[in-house]
Amino acid sequence: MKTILISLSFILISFGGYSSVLKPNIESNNEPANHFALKIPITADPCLDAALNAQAQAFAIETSGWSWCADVHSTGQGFTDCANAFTAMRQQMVAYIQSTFVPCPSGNGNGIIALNNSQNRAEIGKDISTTHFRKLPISSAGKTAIAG
Amino acid sequence: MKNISVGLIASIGLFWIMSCGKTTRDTVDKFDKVDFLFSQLKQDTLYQSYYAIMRYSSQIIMDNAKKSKQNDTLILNNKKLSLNEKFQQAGYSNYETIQENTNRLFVLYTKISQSYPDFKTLTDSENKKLITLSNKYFNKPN
Repeated sequence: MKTILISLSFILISFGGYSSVLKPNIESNNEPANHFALKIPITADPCLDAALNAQAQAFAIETSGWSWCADVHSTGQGFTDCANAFTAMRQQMVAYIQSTFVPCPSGNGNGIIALNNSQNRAEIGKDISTTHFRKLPISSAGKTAIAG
Repeated sequence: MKNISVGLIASIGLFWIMSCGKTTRDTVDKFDKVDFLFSQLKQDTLYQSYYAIMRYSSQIIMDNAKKSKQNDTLILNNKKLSLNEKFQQAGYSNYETIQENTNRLFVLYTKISQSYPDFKTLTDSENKKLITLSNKYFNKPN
């Protein structure tokens, strides 16, 4: 009986620990954060510098988008929706940039995987031409978007 | 002794049921949202365009980053400069393409969000997962 009790207690404790591992990671939503500037640490690694610079450019595009949102939308909700779109775009671009990052020794000396750019772009061009975004009406506001 | 063991077994049973239910809920809430959304998005030509343009812009950005200099961060963080001025001062290329792509991305983002409301509620980590799934799916060898 003692053995059973000890075993059961062990199982209980183990599950307790497991359950804490499975705790959901609560994160804030896409609210525009107060991050108009990306702070880049001074590093001695040129590969990391390049990757961080790429992310800084994505942030610059986002903040430029926010400026446009502020010019176009006078209401709070309109601005929030608009700004959230640019924030999501930045998050996705940063995710893409990070997914291509590799350290210097194997990264062709620039910190970012050396893709075959011409092939890559040809592929993208094909993707774009076969889809119908060109048919989408781009509003006059959209045409002047991100003018900075 | 019997009472204690019965009580302990009952507690374990209850805990088991609760933890399983919670785990399932967590899995459904946290993980399947992006998986489910991507299973729909990957078939959608609007999202395919969106992903392709996003990838194209990111590639331009990375090309610019390769020729970046130490002071570029100061330029990129300067609130007084427009994006065009930032690109000019940093000596980056393809500003017009970035601008045009961003316009298209914004239009597409709005359209996709109308069809898939979950798309605009993704958190940072969920967006990261969406891009990871997209990378795997759209870049897989034929």
